[in-house]
Amino acid sequence: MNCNDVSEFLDRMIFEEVSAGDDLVKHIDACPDCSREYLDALKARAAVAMARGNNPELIAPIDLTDDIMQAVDRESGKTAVLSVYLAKLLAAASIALCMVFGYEQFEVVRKVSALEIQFSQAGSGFQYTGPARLAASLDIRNSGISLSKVEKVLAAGTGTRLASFMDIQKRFINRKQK
Amino acid sequence: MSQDLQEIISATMNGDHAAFRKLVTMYQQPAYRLAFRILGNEDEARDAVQETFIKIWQKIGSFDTSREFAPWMFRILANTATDRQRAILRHPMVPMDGVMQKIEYMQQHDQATPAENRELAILISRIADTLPVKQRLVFLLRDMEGMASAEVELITDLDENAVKSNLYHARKKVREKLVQLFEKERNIV
Ligand SMILES: [Zn+2]
Repeated sequence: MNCNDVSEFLDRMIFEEVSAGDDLVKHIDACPDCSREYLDALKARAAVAMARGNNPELIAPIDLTDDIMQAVDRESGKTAVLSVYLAKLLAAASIALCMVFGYEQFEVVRKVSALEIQFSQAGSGFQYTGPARLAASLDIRNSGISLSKVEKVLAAGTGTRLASFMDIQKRFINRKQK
Repeated sequence: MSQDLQEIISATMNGDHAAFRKLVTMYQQPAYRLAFRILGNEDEARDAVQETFIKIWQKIGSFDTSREFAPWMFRILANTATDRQRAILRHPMVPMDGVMQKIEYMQQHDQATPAENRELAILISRIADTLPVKQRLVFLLRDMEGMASAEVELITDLDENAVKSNLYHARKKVREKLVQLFEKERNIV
C-alpha cells in the first residue's frame, strides 16, 4: 500500500460509495501527506454530495409549462391550425398512394416528401415533420404491420374526415379487386 | 416505453397540443435540472428547456417510437444547453469565499441552507465548466444527475469505454480543482 494507491482510492471515494480497507486506513494514519489528502477528499465528497442534492434551484419554475406551450403556439403560429389540416391531407395522400397505386415504398416516401416541401414553401417557413412521413416510411407490405392498424393510428389523431376518406379508398380498392 | 407514454407521443406526432402539454409536464423537471447543471443559471436553464421542447415539438415526427423517449429528449437538451453555454462568453463568477468553512460547517451540522446548497452546486458546475465538452457532459450526467452508464452512452453517443475514460479524467480534474481551492483558503486563513 503506497501513496499512489491512496490517491487512486480518494479519486473514487469522492464520487462513489466506497469504503477504505484496513491497509489503506493504516497507511493514511501513518502518512502525513495522505492524511491531508484524505481530509480534503472528505470535504470534496461533501461538496459533491451537496451539489448533487435536490436543492430548490433545481426545481423547475411553476409557470414553465405554460411558458413552453405559449412558445410552441407562437412558434407554430397560425400554421398550427394549418398543420393539423396538412397532416390529415398528407397522411391521407400517403395511404392513398399505397393503396390505390400499390407504389413501392420509396416511391411513396418520395411523393410525400415532395408534397411536404410544397406545403412548407406555401406556408411561411412551416416545416412539416408530422405523421405523413411516418405513415409513408412504414413499410406496410413487408413489415407485417396491417394496413388497418396504420389507419387506426392515423385516424385516432386525424379525425373523421380522414377516416371516411380512407373508407372510400378502401371500398374503391375492394371493388377493383373483385 | 409505457403504454401511456406511447399514446401521448403518437398523439403529439399528430399535432395534439394537449398531449404535448402532458409530455412537457412529465419531462420538464428532469430537463430543467440538467439544463441548470449545464448552464448554472435559472434564466438560461429556463430558456434552454423552452428551446428544447420547441425542437421536440418540431422534430417529434422523426422520433423512432421503438426507442426510449427520455434519452432522445436529453440528447436534444444537452446539445441545446451546450450550444447556449458556448454562446455565453463569460459567466459572472460566483464569489467562492469561505467555501471550506461552509463545507466544514455543513459537515458538522449535517445540513445546509438552500443558499449554501446553491453555492456548492454552482461551484461544482463552475469547476465542471473548465472541462472539455465531452468530459463535462459525462460528468454532469453521471456524477451530478446520477444517471446509469448505459443512459449516458445513449445521450452522448459515446461507447462504454469512452464514457469511462471521460468520467475518469473529469473526476480527476474536479478533485484537483477542489483541492486547490481548499489549499488557497488554508493559505488565506
Ligand atoms: Zn501516503
